[in-house]
Amino acid sequence: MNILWIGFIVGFLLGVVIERGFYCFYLALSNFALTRDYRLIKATIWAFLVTMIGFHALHTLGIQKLDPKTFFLGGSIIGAILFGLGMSLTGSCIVGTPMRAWRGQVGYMIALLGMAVGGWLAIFKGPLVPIVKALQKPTEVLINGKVATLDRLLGINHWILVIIVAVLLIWWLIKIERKEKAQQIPQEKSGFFKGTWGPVFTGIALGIVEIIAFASGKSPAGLGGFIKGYATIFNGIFTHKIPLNDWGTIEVIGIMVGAVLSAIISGDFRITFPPLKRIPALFFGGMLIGIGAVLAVGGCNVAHLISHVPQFSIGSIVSMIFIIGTAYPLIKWKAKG
Amino acid sequence: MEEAIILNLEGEICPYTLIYTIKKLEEVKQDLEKGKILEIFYDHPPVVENIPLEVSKRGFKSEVEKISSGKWKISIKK
Repeated sequence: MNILWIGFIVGFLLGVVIERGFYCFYLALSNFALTRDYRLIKATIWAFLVTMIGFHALHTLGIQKLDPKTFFLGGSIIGAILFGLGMSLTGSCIVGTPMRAWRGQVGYMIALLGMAVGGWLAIFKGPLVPIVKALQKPTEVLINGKVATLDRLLGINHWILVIIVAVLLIWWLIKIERKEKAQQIPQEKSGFFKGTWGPVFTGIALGIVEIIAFASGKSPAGLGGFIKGYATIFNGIFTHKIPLNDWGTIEVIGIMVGAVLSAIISGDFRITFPPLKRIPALFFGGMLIGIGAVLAVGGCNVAHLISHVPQFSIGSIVSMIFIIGTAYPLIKWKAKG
Repeated sequence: MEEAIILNLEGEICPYTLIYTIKKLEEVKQDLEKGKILEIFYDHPPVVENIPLEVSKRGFKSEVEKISSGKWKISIKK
């Protein structure tokens, strides 16, 4: 049996990081929207900074070439909207879903099943497959025949953009630090397997896992391929085979093992059941996440925001605008209701 | 002994854990002023971190207690 061990290790590390840090992008958005809590946004910014600098350095050093996602005018936008709707129904993102599932929340295991089914319908079988294909390549937007990136659009060296973005993000982090000091956010005491990791540690750890994935040369440019992984496992029901030498597949298995072990060691693991009325939203939300991610150039919030926006992919930038633009107003609307 | 108002948010999904907590707090504000305690049960760690701050912003005190693996109780009073 051929096992892509590096994919398993990356998935395992990611599983530990998201479980220990309770990392979820949807939670980052909702905490900010409802209580002006910046902590998970801070973690995301740190992950972005580490990834951006790491990826571009590895590219310049000739170790691994940048491979930003392309821009499908149809897929990148429609997929992102569906993804945002899916996140709003499940109340979680692409990593927040397995993170909660592998801490024992049965509702999120249902959401994962939805993601697998949605991804399967978009990739493997059924009437959605040709629709997805029609919204992708035929709507591709290139710049001078190459993948559309922000540095290409502006006609500047990518390092100039790295510096500008890094300065802006560090300035934002300083602003957040000042706001948090004014709010007197309590600093929780936590250990490696105790409590929840702080946002800076979580963000940097996430960035390091990204760099390992990228440097391996075996991944879809950094972390990603999760939906394809879940869909491939689901497809295994029909083919009686689960290819462990496939990045997405072995990565999501690694996430499960890492997150479950981490939850058990930290005393976080507990089987809980969702209120029955939430189950349809969890399953169908998962399906929308799966379909949306496949449509959006095979990209979820992690692949876009932390793997490909740091590479200045215009497709991923557009997708993130629509993901956030869909999910954020819905959070505010839920709070009003 | 203060009478406790109980809210069980175990198994609830984001962002409803936070939304329902804030809504309940607003709803029972008068009762808390009169000396009652609001006890909320969660299995959602982030809420355990940001609820105490929200509660203190509204002029109340809170106490977090880990009841068992992955389960917490927050007691809120004036």
